[in-house]
Amino acid sequence: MQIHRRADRAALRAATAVVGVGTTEFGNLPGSSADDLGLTALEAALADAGLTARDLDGLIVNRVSSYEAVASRMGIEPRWTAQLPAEGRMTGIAIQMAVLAIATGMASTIALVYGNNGRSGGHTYGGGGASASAAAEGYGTNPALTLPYGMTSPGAFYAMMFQRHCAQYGTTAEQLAQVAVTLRDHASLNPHAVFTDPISREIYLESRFIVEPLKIYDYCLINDGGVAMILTSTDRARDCAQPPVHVLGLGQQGQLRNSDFPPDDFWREAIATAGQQAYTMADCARSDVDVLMAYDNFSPNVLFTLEGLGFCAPGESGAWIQDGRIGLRGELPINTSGGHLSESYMQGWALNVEAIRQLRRTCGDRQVQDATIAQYLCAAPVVTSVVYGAQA
Amino acid sequence: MNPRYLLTAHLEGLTRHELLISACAACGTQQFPPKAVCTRCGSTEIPRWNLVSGEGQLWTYATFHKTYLTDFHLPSPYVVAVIELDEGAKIYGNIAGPTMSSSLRIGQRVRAEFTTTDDENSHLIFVPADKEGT
Repeated sequence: MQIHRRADRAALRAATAVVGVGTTEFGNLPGSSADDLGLTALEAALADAGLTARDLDGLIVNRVSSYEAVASRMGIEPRWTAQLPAEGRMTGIAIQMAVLAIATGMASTIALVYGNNGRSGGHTYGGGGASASAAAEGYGTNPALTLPYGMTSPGAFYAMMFQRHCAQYGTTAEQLAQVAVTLRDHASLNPHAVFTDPISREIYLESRFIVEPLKIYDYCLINDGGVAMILTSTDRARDCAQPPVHVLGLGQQGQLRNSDFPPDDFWREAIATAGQQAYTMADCARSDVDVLMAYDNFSPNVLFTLEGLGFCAPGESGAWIQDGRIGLRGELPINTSGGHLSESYMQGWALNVEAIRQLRRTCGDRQVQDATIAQYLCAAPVVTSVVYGAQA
Repeated sequence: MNPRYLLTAHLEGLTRHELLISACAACGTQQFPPKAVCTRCGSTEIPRWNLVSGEGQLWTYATFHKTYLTDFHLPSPYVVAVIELDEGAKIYGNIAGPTMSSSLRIGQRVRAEFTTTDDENSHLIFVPADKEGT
Protein backbone atom coordinates (compact mmCIF):
# COMPACT_ATOMS: atom_id res chain seq x y z
CA MET A 1 0.00 0.00 0.00
CA GLN A 2 1.36 3.36 -0.95
CA ILE A 3 0.76 5.66 1.98
CA HIS A 4 2.54 8.81 0.86
CA ARG A 5 0.26 9.89 -1.94
CA ARG A 6 -0.47 13.56 -2.05
CA ALA A 7 -4.18 12.91 -1.48
CA ASP A 8 -3.44 11.20 1.82
CA ARG A 9 -1.33 14.08 2.97
CA ALA A 10 -4.00 16.56 1.97
CA ALA A 11 -6.39 14.69 4.25
CA LEU A 12 -4.05 15.48 7.14
CA ARG A 13 -4.40 19.21 6.52
CA ALA A 14 -6.01 20.77 9.60
CA ALA A 15 -6.84 17.32 10.99
CA THR A 16 -5.02 18.28 14.17
CA ALA A 17 -4.53 21.42 16.20
CA VAL A 18 -2.28 22.77 18.89
CA VAL A 19 -4.49 23.50 21.88
CA GLY A 20 -1.97 24.09 24.63
CA VAL A 21 1.51 25.54 24.94
CA GLY A 22 3.63 26.04 28.01
CA THR A 23 7.08 27.40 28.74
CA THR A 24 9.11 27.83 31.91
CA GLU A 25 11.34 30.68 32.85
CA PHE A 26 14.50 30.62 30.68
CA GLY A 27 18.02 31.17 32.01
CA ASN A 28 20.31 29.67 34.60
CA LEU A 29 18.03 27.59 36.82
CA PRO A 30 20.20 25.46 39.10
CA GLY A 31 18.37 22.89 41.18
CA SER A 32 15.89 21.99 38.42
CA SER A 33 16.45 18.83 36.43
CA ALA A 34 15.43 18.55 32.79
CA ASP A 35 12.43 16.53 34.00
CA ASP A 36 11.44 19.23 36.50
CA LEU A 37 11.55 21.83 33.74
CA GLY A 38 9.65 19.69 31.26
CA LEU A 39 6.93 18.92 33.80
CA THR A 40 6.58 22.56 34.81
CA ALA A 41 6.07 23.41 31.14
CA LEU A 42 3.56 20.58 30.76
CA GLU A 43 1.53 21.84 33.72
CA ALA A 44 1.46 25.27 32.07
CA ALA A 45 0.41 23.77 28.72
CA LEU A 46 -2.39 21.76 30.32
CA ALA A 47 -3.67 24.84 32.14
CA ASP A 48 -3.46 26.79 28.88
CA ALA A 49 -5.58 24.16 27.11
CA GLY A 50 -8.04 23.76 29.99
CA LEU A 51 -7.13 20.06 30.22
CA THR A 52 -5.74 17.76 32.90
CA ALA A 53 -3.17 14.98 32.65
CA ARG A 54 -6.07 12.50 32.60
CA ASP A 55 -7.15 13.91 29.24
CA LEU A 56 -3.84 12.84 27.69
CA ASP A 57 -3.49 9.48 26.01
CA GLY A 58 -0.29 10.15 24.10
CA LEU A 59 3.17 11.31 25.14
CA ILE A 60 6.32 12.26 23.23
CA VAL A 61 9.34 13.35 25.23
CA ASN A 62 12.63 14.93 24.20
CA ARG A 63 15.78 15.63 26.24
CA VAL A 64 14.07 14.78 29.55
CA SER A 65 15.35 11.63 31.29
CA SER A 66 12.64 9.29 30.08
CA TYR A 67 9.02 8.89 29.01
CA GLU A 68 8.60 6.63 32.04
CA ALA A 69 9.59 9.36 34.47
CA VAL A 70 7.35 11.98 32.84
CA ALA A 71 4.36 9.63 32.60
CA SER A 72 4.81 8.38 36.13
CA ARG A 73 5.23 11.78 37.74
CA MET A 74 2.26 13.28 35.87
CA GLY A 75 0.00 10.27 36.15
CA ILE A 76 -0.29 9.92 32.38
CA GLU A 77 -1.37 6.50 31.06
CA PRO A 78 -0.43 6.72 27.39
CA ARG A 79 -1.95 4.56 24.68
CA TRP A 80 0.96 5.72 22.54
CA THR A 81 4.38 7.07 23.52
CA ALA A 82 7.81 7.85 22.08
CA GLN A 83 11.12 9.36 23.10
CA LEU A 84 13.40 11.06 20.60
CA PRO A 85 17.14 11.84 20.77
CA ALA A 86 18.12 15.20 22.28
CA GLU A 87 18.82 16.84 18.92
CA GLY A 88 17.04 19.87 17.58
CA ARG A 89 16.52 18.04 14.31
CA MET A 90 14.03 15.83 16.15
CA THR A 91 11.63 18.60 17.19
CA GLY A 92 9.84 18.85 13.87
CA ILE A 93 9.85 15.07 13.65
CA ALA A 94 8.19 14.83 17.09
CA ILE A 95 5.42 17.20 16.02
CA GLN A 96 4.95 15.28 12.78
CA MET A 97 4.74 11.99 14.69
CA ALA A 98 2.07 13.46 16.96
CA VAL A 99 0.00 14.59 13.99
CA LEU A 100 0.27 11.17 12.37
CA ALA A 101 -0.61 9.35 15.59
CA ILE A 102 -3.73 11.49 16.08
CA ALA A 103 -4.76 11.25 12.43
CA THR A 104 -4.50 7.46 12.48
CA GLY A 105 -6.31 7.07 15.79
CA MET A 106 -3.30 5.78 17.71
CA ALA A 107 -3.94 8.52 20.26
CA SER A 108 -6.35 11.40 20.58
CA THR A 109 -4.59 14.01 22.72
CA ILE A 110 -0.81 14.05 22.90
CA ALA A 111 1.57 15.97 25.14
CA LEU A 112 5.02 16.81 23.78
CA VAL A 113 7.42 17.51 26.62
CA TYR A 114 10.93 18.97 26.44
CA GLY A 115 13.28 19.86 29.28
CA ASN A 116 16.86 21.15 29.08
CA ASN A 117 19.19 21.92 31.99
CA GLY A 118 22.19 22.51 29.70
CA ARG A 119 23.21 25.74 31.42
CA SER A 120 23.23 24.61 35.05
CA GLY A 121 24.40 21.18 33.89
CA GLY A 122 27.48 22.69 32.23
CA HIS A 123 26.85 21.36 28.70
CA THR A 124 29.35 22.81 26.23
CA TYR A 125 28.62 21.22 22.81
CA GLY A 126 32.03 20.36 21.55
CA GLY A 127 34.99 18.24 22.45
CA GLY A 128 33.58 15.04 23.77
CA GLY A 129 30.97 14.25 21.17
CA ALA A 130 28.28 13.44 23.73
CA SER A 131 24.84 12.67 22.40
CA ALA A 132 23.62 16.18 23.13
CA SER A 133 26.32 17.52 20.82
CA ALA A 134 26.06 14.99 18.05
CA ALA A 135 27.23 17.44 15.41
CA ALA A 136 30.51 17.86 17.23
CA GLU A 137 32.53 16.06 14.62
CA GLY A 138 30.41 16.39 11.52
CA TYR A 139 26.99 14.84 11.41
CA GLY A 140 27.52 11.38 10.03
CA THR A 141 31.23 10.86 10.13
CA ASN A 142 33.73 8.82 12.09
CA PRO A 143 35.34 10.77 14.99
CA ALA A 144 38.71 9.24 14.02
CA LEU A 145 38.67 11.58 11.01
CA THR A 146 37.82 14.75 12.91
CA LEU A 147 38.99 14.60 16.54
CA PRO A 148 42.73 14.40 15.66
CA TYR A 149 42.34 17.70 13.80
CA GLY A 150 40.41 19.48 16.55
CA MET A 151 37.22 19.57 14.46
CA THR A 152 35.19 19.40 17.60
CA SER A 153 32.25 21.75 17.69
CA PRO A 154 28.88 21.99 15.95
CA GLY A 155 29.48 25.70 15.32
CA ALA A 156 32.58 24.87 13.29
CA PHE A 157 30.45 22.95 10.80
CA TYR A 158 28.39 26.11 10.20
CA ALA A 159 31.51 28.29 10.23
CA MET A 160 32.84 26.18 7.36
CA MET A 161 29.56 26.46 5.49
CA PHE A 162 29.47 30.24 5.93
CA GLN A 163 33.12 30.58 4.90
CA ARG A 164 32.27 28.82 1.64
CA HIS A 165 29.12 30.92 1.18
CA CYS A 166 31.27 34.06 1.50
CA ALA A 167 33.78 32.78 -1.06
CA GLN A 168 31.13 31.61 -3.50
CA TYR A 169 28.72 34.53 -3.32
CA GLY A 170 30.55 37.41 -1.67
CA THR A 171 28.44 37.28 1.51
CA THR A 172 29.98 39.43 4.26
CA ALA A 173 30.18 39.61 8.04
CA GLU A 174 28.40 42.98 7.83
CA GLN A 175 25.49 41.25 6.10
CA LEU A 176 25.39 38.31 8.51
CA ALA A 177 25.33 40.73 11.45
CA GLN A 178 21.75 41.54 10.48
CA VAL A 179 20.55 38.17 11.78
CA ALA A 180 21.94 38.61 15.30
CA VAL A 181 21.01 42.31 15.48
CA THR A 182 17.42 41.73 14.31
CA LEU A 183 16.82 38.76 16.58
CA ARG A 184 18.14 40.72 19.56
CA ASP A 185 15.73 43.52 18.67
CA HIS A 186 12.92 40.99 18.75
CA ALA A 187 14.11 39.59 22.08
CA SER A 188 14.12 43.10 23.57
CA LEU A 189 10.32 43.02 23.20
CA ASN A 190 10.00 39.56 24.75
CA PRO A 191 9.83 39.47 28.55
CA HIS A 192 10.76 35.78 28.54
CA ALA A 193 14.02 36.26 26.58
CA VAL A 194 17.38 35.62 28.23
CA PHE A 195 19.15 38.46 26.41
CA THR A 196 17.20 41.67 25.88
CA ASP A 197 19.85 44.40 25.54
CA PRO A 198 19.93 45.53 21.90
CA ILE A 199 23.19 45.08 20.00
CA SER A 200 24.33 47.23 17.10
CA ARG A 201 26.11 46.10 13.98
CA GLU A 202 29.27 47.73 15.37
CA ILE A 203 29.05 45.75 18.60
CA TYR A 204 28.58 42.60 16.55
CA LEU A 205 31.56 43.33 14.30
CA GLU A 206 33.82 44.11 17.24
CA SER A 207 32.85 40.98 19.18
CA ARG A 208 35.17 38.02 19.49
CA PHE A 209 35.36 35.04 17.19
CA ILE A 210 34.55 31.60 18.53
CA VAL A 211 35.20 29.59 15.39
CA GLU A 212 35.99 32.17 12.73
CA PRO A 213 34.21 33.45 10.69
CA LEU A 214 31.48 33.09 13.34
CA LYS A 215 31.36 35.43 16.32
CA ILE A 216 29.89 34.98 19.77
CA TYR A 217 26.60 36.58 18.64
CA ASP A 218 26.24 34.03 15.84
CA TYR A 219 25.96 31.24 18.41
CA CYS A 220 22.84 30.03 20.16
CA LEU A 221 22.55 30.41 23.91
CA ILE A 222 23.06 27.60 26.34
CA ASN A 223 20.33 27.98 28.97
CA ASP A 224 17.90 26.01 31.09
CA GLY A 225 14.19 25.74 30.42
CA GLY A 226 11.26 23.58 29.49
CA VAL A 227 8.62 23.64 26.75
CA ALA A 228 5.45 21.63 26.24
CA MET A 229 2.82 21.48 23.53
CA ILE A 230 -0.52 19.68 23.43
CA LEU A 231 -1.98 18.47 20.16
CA THR A 232 -5.38 16.96 19.58
CA SER A 233 -7.84 16.38 16.75
CA THR A 234 -9.55 19.42 15.33
CA ASP A 235 -12.89 18.05 16.56
CA ARG A 236 -11.70 17.84 20.15
CA ALA A 237 -9.88 21.13 19.87
CA ARG A 238 -13.19 22.98 19.80
CA ASP A 239 -13.80 22.05 23.43
CA CYS A 240 -10.48 23.43 24.68
CA ALA A 241 -9.91 26.75 26.39
CA GLN A 242 -7.88 28.43 23.66
CA PRO A 243 -8.69 29.03 20.02
CA PRO A 244 -7.04 26.14 18.19
CA VAL A 245 -4.05 26.68 15.94
CA HIS A 246 -4.25 24.19 13.10
CA VAL A 247 -1.43 22.08 11.76
CA LEU A 248 -1.82 22.66 8.04
CA GLY A 249 1.33 21.25 6.50
CA LEU A 250 4.23 18.93 7.23
CA GLY A 251 7.45 18.30 5.34
CA GLN A 252 10.62 16.39 5.89
CA GLN A 253 13.68 15.53 3.81
CA GLY A 254 17.01 14.00 4.78
CA GLN A 255 20.34 14.85 3.19
CA LEU A 256 22.43 12.37 5.12
CA ARG A 257 24.40 10.82 2.27
CA ASN A 258 27.95 12.20 2.51
CA SER A 259 27.02 14.24 5.59
CA ASP A 260 30.59 13.64 6.79
CA PHE A 261 31.36 17.04 5.31
CA PRO A 262 29.51 20.36 5.05
CA PRO A 263 26.94 20.12 2.23
CA ASP A 264 28.01 21.77 -1.00
CA ASP A 265 24.50 23.12 -1.60
CA PHE A 266 23.93 24.41 1.95
CA TRP A 267 21.09 21.82 2.22
CA ARG A 268 19.21 23.87 -0.38
CA GLU A 269 17.66 20.89 -2.12
CA ALA A 270 16.46 19.21 1.07
CA ILE A 271 15.06 22.50 2.43
CA ALA A 272 13.23 23.12 -0.84
CA THR A 273 11.74 19.63 -0.80
CA ALA A 274 10.62 19.74 2.83
CA GLY A 275 9.27 23.27 2.42
CA GLN A 276 7.34 22.43 -0.73
CA GLN A 277 5.84 19.34 0.87
CA ALA A 278 4.59 21.49 3.72
CA TYR A 279 3.20 24.20 1.42
CA THR A 280 1.49 21.66 -0.82
CA MET A 281 -0.18 19.92 2.10
CA ALA A 282 -1.16 23.26 3.61
CA ASP A 283 -2.52 24.43 0.25
CA CYS A 284 -0.56 27.64 0.56
CA ALA A 285 2.49 29.26 -1.00
CA ARG A 286 5.70 30.69 0.37
CA SER A 287 4.24 34.16 -0.11
CA ASP A 288 1.40 33.32 2.30
CA VAL A 289 3.79 32.89 5.23
CA ASP A 290 3.29 35.76 7.69
CA VAL A 291 6.01 34.75 10.12
CA LEU A 292 8.90 32.31 9.75
CA MET A 293 10.54 30.39 12.58
CA ALA A 294 13.95 29.39 11.19
CA TYR A 295 16.16 27.10 13.27
CA ASP A 296 18.93 29.47 14.33
CA ASN A 297 21.41 27.27 16.15
CA PHE A 298 23.98 29.39 14.32
CA SER A 299 23.02 32.55 12.46
CA PRO A 300 24.10 31.43 8.95
CA ASN A 301 21.41 28.76 9.13
CA VAL A 302 18.83 31.53 8.68
CA LEU A 303 20.49 32.43 5.36
CA PHE A 304 20.51 28.81 4.20
CA THR A 305 16.83 28.47 5.16
CA LEU A 306 15.79 31.53 3.13
CA GLU A 307 17.66 30.34 0.03
CA GLY A 308 16.37 26.78 0.35
CA LEU A 309 12.77 27.92 0.67
CA GLY A 310 13.23 30.23 -2.31
CA PHE A 311 12.53 33.55 -0.59
CA CYS A 312 15.65 34.69 -2.45
CA ALA A 313 17.94 33.21 -5.09
CA PRO A 314 20.95 31.10 -4.09
CA GLY A 315 23.67 33.35 -2.74
CA GLU A 316 21.44 36.40 -2.31
CA SER A 317 20.33 35.90 1.30
CA GLY A 318 23.01 38.20 2.72
CA ALA A 319 21.62 41.15 0.78
CA TRP A 320 17.99 40.03 1.10
CA ILE A 321 17.83 40.20 4.90
CA GLN A 322 18.87 43.87 5.06
CA ASP A 323 16.73 46.98 5.55
CA GLY A 324 14.27 45.53 8.04
CA ARG A 325 13.00 42.79 5.78
CA ILE A 326 13.17 40.11 8.52
CA GLY A 327 12.11 42.49 11.30
CA LEU A 328 8.69 42.63 12.95
CA ARG A 329 7.31 45.07 10.39
CA GLY A 330 9.22 43.60 7.49
CA GLU A 331 8.17 41.50 4.56
CA LEU A 332 9.05 38.28 6.42
CA PRO A 333 9.43 38.57 10.20
CA ILE A 334 11.77 35.83 11.40
CA ASN A 335 12.09 34.38 14.92
CA THR A 336 9.94 37.03 16.55
CA SER A 337 10.79 35.76 20.04
CA GLY A 338 14.52 36.35 19.53
CA GLY A 339 15.08 32.72 18.65
CA HIS A 340 17.93 30.56 19.84
CA LEU A 341 20.35 33.46 19.51
CA SER A 342 18.63 35.69 22.06
CA GLU A 343 15.46 34.23 23.59
CA SER A 344 16.29 30.68 24.60
CA TYR A 345 17.98 27.58 23.23
CA MET A 346 15.10 25.13 23.43
CA GLN A 347 16.18 23.31 20.26
CA GLY A 348 13.24 24.36 18.12
CA TRP A 349 10.51 23.80 20.70
CA ALA A 350 10.23 27.44 21.79
CA LEU A 351 10.18 28.51 18.13
CA ASN A 352 7.13 26.32 17.59
CA VAL A 353 5.48 27.79 20.67
CA GLU A 354 6.23 31.27 19.36
CA ALA A 355 4.53 30.33 16.08
CA ILE A 356 1.41 29.34 18.05
CA ARG A 357 1.45 32.52 20.14
CA GLN A 358 1.83 34.66 17.02
CA LEU A 359 -1.21 33.00 15.46
CA ARG A 360 -3.16 33.44 18.69
CA ARG A 361 -2.02 37.07 18.53
CA THR A 362 -0.90 37.11 22.12
CA CYS A 363 2.67 38.30 21.53
CA GLY A 364 2.19 41.83 22.83
CA ASP A 365 4.82 44.29 21.64
CA ARG A 366 6.36 41.76 19.26
CA GLN A 367 3.06 40.71 17.67
CA VAL A 368 3.10 40.54 13.89
CA GLN A 369 -0.06 42.21 12.71
CA ASP A 370 -2.72 39.91 11.25
CA ALA A 371 -0.46 36.85 11.48
CA THR A 372 -2.44 33.98 9.98
CA ILE A 373 0.14 31.51 8.64
CA ALA A 374 3.35 30.62 10.49
CA GLN A 375 6.06 28.26 9.29
CA TYR A 376 8.72 26.40 11.27
CA LEU A 377 11.73 25.08 9.39
CA CYS A 378 14.83 23.39 10.74
CA ALA A 379 17.71 23.30 8.26
CA ALA A 380 20.00 20.36 9.04
CA PRO A 381 20.94 17.04 7.49
CA VAL A 382 17.35 16.13 8.28
CA VAL A 383 15.17 19.08 7.30
CA THR A 384 11.73 19.38 8.87
CA SER A 385 8.98 21.93 8.40
CA VAL A 386 5.57 22.55 9.95
CA VAL A 387 3.06 25.09 8.65
CA TYR A 388 0.50 26.35 11.18
CA GLY A 389 -2.68 28.27 10.48
CA ALA A 390 -4.96 30.42 12.64
CA GLN A 391 -7.83 29.13 10.49
CA ALA A 392 -8.48 25.59 9.33
CA MET B 1 33.59 -4.42 12.83
CA ASN B 2 32.42 -4.83 9.27
CA PRO B 3 35.51 -4.26 7.07
CA ARG B 4 33.51 -1.88 4.87
CA TYR B 5 33.63 0.70 7.66
CA LEU B 6 37.16 0.19 8.94
CA LEU B 7 39.60 3.09 8.84
CA THR B 8 42.59 0.99 9.86
CA ALA B 9 44.31 1.15 6.48
CA HIS B 10 44.01 4.94 6.38
CA LEU B 11 45.25 5.43 9.95
CA GLU B 12 48.16 3.00 9.50
CA GLY B 13 49.05 4.76 6.25
CA LEU B 14 49.39 8.05 8.13
CA THR B 15 52.02 6.51 10.44
CA ARG B 16 54.03 5.63 7.30
CA HIS B 17 53.40 9.16 6.01
CA GLU B 18 51.21 7.84 3.22
CA LEU B 19 47.72 9.05 2.37
CA LEU B 20 45.39 6.15 1.62
CA ILE B 21 41.87 6.91 0.45
CA SER B 22 39.04 4.44 0.00
CA ALA B 23 37.49 3.79 -3.40
CA CYS B 24 34.65 1.66 -4.68
CA ALA B 25 36.06 -1.72 -5.71
CA ALA B 26 33.58 -1.92 -8.59
CA CYS B 27 33.52 1.51 -10.25
CA GLY B 28 36.62 3.10 -8.73
CA THR B 29 34.88 6.22 -7.37
CA GLN B 30 36.86 7.65 -4.47
CA GLN B 31 34.65 8.04 -1.44
CA PHE B 32 36.04 8.73 1.95
CA PRO B 33 35.39 7.65 4.64
CA PRO B 34 34.57 4.20 3.20
CA LYS B 35 30.91 3.41 2.63
CA ALA B 36 29.10 0.10 2.86
CA VAL B 37 27.36 0.92 -0.41
CA CYS B 38 28.92 2.95 -3.21
CA THR B 39 26.98 6.20 -3.52
CA ARG B 40 27.58 6.15 -7.29
CA CYS B 41 27.07 2.56 -8.50
CA GLY B 42 25.53 0.84 -5.48
CA SER B 43 28.21 -1.82 -5.20
CA THR B 44 28.53 -3.51 -1.83
CA GLU B 45 32.04 -4.85 -2.40
CA ILE B 46 34.60 -4.07 0.28
CA PRO B 47 36.20 -0.77 -0.76
CA ARG B 48 39.83 -0.84 -1.88
CA TRP B 49 42.50 1.55 -0.66
CA ASN B 50 44.41 3.78 -3.08
CA LEU B 51 47.60 5.69 -2.37
CA VAL B 52 46.89 9.27 -3.48
CA SER B 53 49.11 12.26 -4.18
CA GLY B 54 47.88 14.37 -1.25
CA GLU B 55 47.44 17.29 -3.59
CA GLY B 56 44.21 19.16 -3.81
CA GLN B 57 42.43 22.42 -3.13
CA LEU B 58 41.17 24.18 -0.04
CA TRP B 59 37.41 23.51 -0.15
CA THR B 60 36.53 25.34 3.06
CA TYR B 61 38.03 26.07 6.46
CA ALA B 62 37.37 27.52 9.90
CA THR B 63 39.66 29.01 12.50
CA PHE B 64 39.17 27.77 16.04
CA HIS B 65 39.76 30.58 18.54
CA LYS B 66 38.65 28.23 21.28
CA THR B 67 40.02 24.77 22.02
CA TYR B 68 37.33 22.33 23.05
CA LEU B 69 39.68 19.41 23.73
CA THR B 70 41.82 19.64 26.87
CA ASP B 71 44.72 17.67 25.41
CA PHE B 72 44.72 18.94 21.82
CA HIS B 73 48.20 19.25 20.29
CA LEU B 74 47.75 22.57 18.48
CA PRO B 75 47.51 25.93 20.25
CA SER B 76 44.57 28.13 19.32
CA PRO B 77 43.90 29.76 17.02
CA TYR B 78 44.25 26.82 14.69
CA VAL B 79 42.71 26.12 11.29
CA VAL B 80 40.64 23.06 10.39
CA ALA B 81 40.12 22.65 6.68
CA VAL B 82 38.17 20.45 4.31
CA ILE B 83 40.43 19.58 1.40
CA GLU B 84 39.11 18.34 -1.92
CA LEU B 85 41.81 15.97 -3.13
CA ASP B 86 42.64 15.91 -6.83
CA GLU B 87 41.39 12.31 -6.93
CA GLY B 88 37.92 13.52 -5.88
CA ALA B 89 37.44 12.67 -2.21
CA LYS B 90 37.21 15.20 0.61
CA ILE B 91 39.13 14.95 3.88
CA TYR B 92 39.56 16.96 7.11
CA GLY B 93 43.01 18.23 8.09
CA ASN B 94 44.83 21.16 9.67
CA ILE B 95 46.65 23.92 7.81
CA ALA B 96 50.33 24.39 8.53
CA GLY B 97 52.11 27.48 9.66
CA PRO B 98 51.03 30.70 11.32
CA THR B 99 47.27 30.61 11.40
CA MET B 100 46.66 33.81 9.52
CA SER B 101 43.27 32.87 8.23
CA SER B 102 43.20 36.02 6.13
CA SER B 103 46.04 34.58 4.06
CA LEU B 104 43.96 31.58 3.06
CA ARG B 105 41.72 31.49 0.05
CA ILE B 106 39.12 28.88 -0.83
CA GLY B 107 40.21 27.13 -4.00
CA GLN B 108 43.93 27.55 -3.40
CA ARG B 109 46.26 24.62 -4.02
CA VAL B 110 47.50 22.63 -1.04
CA ARG B 111 49.44 19.43 -0.53
CA ALA B 112 49.52 16.99 2.37
CA GLU B 113 52.35 16.67 4.82
CA PHE B 114 52.44 14.54 7.92
CA THR B 115 53.21 15.29 11.55
CA THR B 116 53.69 12.90 14.42
CA THR B 117 52.59 14.18 17.82
CA ASP B 118 54.02 13.32 21.25
CA ASP B 119 51.51 10.50 21.62
CA GLU B 120 53.01 9.00 18.44
CA ASN B 121 49.86 9.55 16.41
CA SER B 122 50.33 10.82 12.88
CA HIS B 123 48.17 13.57 11.45
CA LEU B 124 47.61 15.26 8.13
CA ILE B 125 48.71 18.82 7.82
CA PHE B 126 48.13 20.67 4.58
CA VAL B 127 50.63 23.18 3.28
CA PRO B 128 49.67 25.91 0.81
CA ALA B 129 51.34 24.89 -2.43
CA ASP B 130 52.65 28.42 -3.07
CA LYS B 131 54.82 28.14 0.06
CA GLU B 132 57.02 25.65 -1.73
CA GLY B 133 58.36 28.44 -3.88
CA THR B 134 57.23 26.67 -7.01
